[in-house]
Amino acid sequence: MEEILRVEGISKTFTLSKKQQKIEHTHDAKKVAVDALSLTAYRGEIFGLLGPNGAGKTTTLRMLATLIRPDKGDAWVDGCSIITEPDKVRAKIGFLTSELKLEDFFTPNYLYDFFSKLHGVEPETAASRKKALFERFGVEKFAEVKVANLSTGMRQKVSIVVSLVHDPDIIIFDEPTNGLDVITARTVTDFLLELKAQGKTVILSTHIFSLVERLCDRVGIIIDGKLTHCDTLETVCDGLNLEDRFFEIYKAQKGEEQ
Amino acid sequence: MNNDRLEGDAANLPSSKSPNLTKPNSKSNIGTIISKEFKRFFSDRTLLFTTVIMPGLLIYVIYTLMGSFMYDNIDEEIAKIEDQTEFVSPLTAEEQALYDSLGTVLYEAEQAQLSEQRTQQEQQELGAVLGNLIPLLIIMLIFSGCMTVGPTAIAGEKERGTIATLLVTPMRRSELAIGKIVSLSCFALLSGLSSFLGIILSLPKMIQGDSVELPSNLYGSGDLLIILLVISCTVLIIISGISLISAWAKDVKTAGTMVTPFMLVIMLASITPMIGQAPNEAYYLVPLYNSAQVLASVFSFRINLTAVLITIGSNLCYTALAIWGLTKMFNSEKIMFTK
Ligand SMILES: Nc1ncnc2c1ncn2[C@@H]1O[C@H](COP(=O)(O)OP(=O)(O)OP(=O)(O)O)[C@@H](O)[C@H]1O
Ligand SMILES: [Mg+2]
Repeated sequence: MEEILRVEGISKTFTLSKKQQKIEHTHDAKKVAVDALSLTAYRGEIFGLLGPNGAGKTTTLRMLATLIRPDKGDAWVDGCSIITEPDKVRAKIGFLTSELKLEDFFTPNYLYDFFSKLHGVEPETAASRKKALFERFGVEKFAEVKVANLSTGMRQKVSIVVSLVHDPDIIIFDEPTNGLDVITARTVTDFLLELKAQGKTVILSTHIFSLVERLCDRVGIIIDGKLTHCDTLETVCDGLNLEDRFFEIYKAQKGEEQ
Repeated sequence: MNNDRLEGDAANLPSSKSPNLTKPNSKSNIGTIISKEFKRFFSDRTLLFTTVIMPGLLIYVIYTLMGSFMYDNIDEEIAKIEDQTEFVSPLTAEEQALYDSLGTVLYEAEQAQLSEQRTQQEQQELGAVLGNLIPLLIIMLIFSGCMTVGPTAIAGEKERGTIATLLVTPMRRSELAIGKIVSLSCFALLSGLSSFLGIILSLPKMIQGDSVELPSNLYGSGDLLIILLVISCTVLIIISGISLISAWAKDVKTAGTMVTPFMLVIMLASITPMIGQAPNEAYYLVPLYNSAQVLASVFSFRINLTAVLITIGSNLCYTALAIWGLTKMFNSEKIMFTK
């Protein structure tokens, strides 16, 4: 098994503003979002980060995508450190999260070309790849419609396509099926399996058990910023179904904290 | 989970394992950013109208109206006075004729000399008035041009989350900073140019009907060139300031509020020509103040070339500094991602 992602003890603490403290019902000005998290992912697998709301999934993935820096620890994406070589990491990954938006004013066609250029993709390669991706997701039907006029599902498809302009080896998707109907969600998950078949590594976060069961080779369970379990799906489940096993783990973890 | 990559499986997705992926920054992306900003700007009719067409048109109309109104009034007043005075001459008709012809000759000779002096004097006076007013006008118009394009392009992208999409690409942050400042400056410059044209075209109407003929080319092409250069570097400075503030602000609305103190500074700087001239050349190192002073000096016919050069040079340096600062801000997660 070739290691492609190694995370060693990354932590992230946010300072909460007064307003955020009110929202979170706390008087603590500090919020530990991710706490000394370590994990390894191997080439060609789909790794699922499973956790409840606020567990720190998005924060973890944002650190891996070099949008934010960990306070402690480091991670290596295909050998490149997210701290010392963020540009190289950005070139190697395709990142998708609801926080990344596309400009309303432009068409999918234009945006695809724009991001291809930013990634330094050769024009011919970009053109043929665009054709394939647009066909795969049915984007060509609305390729010339401004993003402002697209539906949520169409936008998500365009976001996915745009995150793949440089044909990255590592695909980091944060809740890729959020807000999608079953049909569109299915298109996305099928595509993830296709990527795996092509030898790509997919890291995804979700709180949907069935998604993990259907897609993931290995799973990490994250609760309150800590990775409590990280192994193959069978080992983590330990004979139970994932949902039951998750609640066992969740109760144990919460009990430990009190 | 195996080592042997499925090479042939790139079937439907052409794979590029070319070395350009490991050297993502070999080619500059500034052009790509600029061309995107231009596409955005030039295909938005409302934006085009409010930033490019309106300022010049507005100035032209206001100045022309102001000019005709002012002189209409003066002509009326003179006519009234003339009507009121009736003069009865004690001379006979012959004497009067002789006196008139002599008078005309003398009067014409005197007038010829006088009018030359008066032209120069009036030109100086007009120059002083324009020198006081026009810098304020030009700079405030540039400012409003910058305000229509700056905050939406930076704070707006931050607010809408589109800048994060750019930040996950391997593009350098400095390229984004340069691309933004250059393209925004071009738009603000177009806006400034529009105001400039408005002023130039309405100047003759402003001074039309004046008792003394002024030379139609009050300002030479050298003057105009200096005006354009100074306008350009003023645009750079103001866009730089607004960009830094907008990058700091969490959304367009906050950016608008945060710009207010900067606007007051700009206004103060642009009325300094009314208070006095720069005591020495070191003063031309002060941004905005230098622009106002140099513009005033051009309009009042007392250009100091050293001052012009110091102004342009220092403003370019400040812009470079601002680009550096903006790059730092794009790199800072605290600034870019704190809610
Ligand atoms: N920029 C920020 N400032 C302050 N707190 C933050 C910030 N981003 C995240 N947090 C907090 O960190 C914790 C983890 O958030 P995160 O978004 O990583 O959770 P998540 O697992 O993705 O949850 P969800 O399923 O709701 O998406 C939450 O309590 C959140 O409120
Ligand atoms: Mg999340």
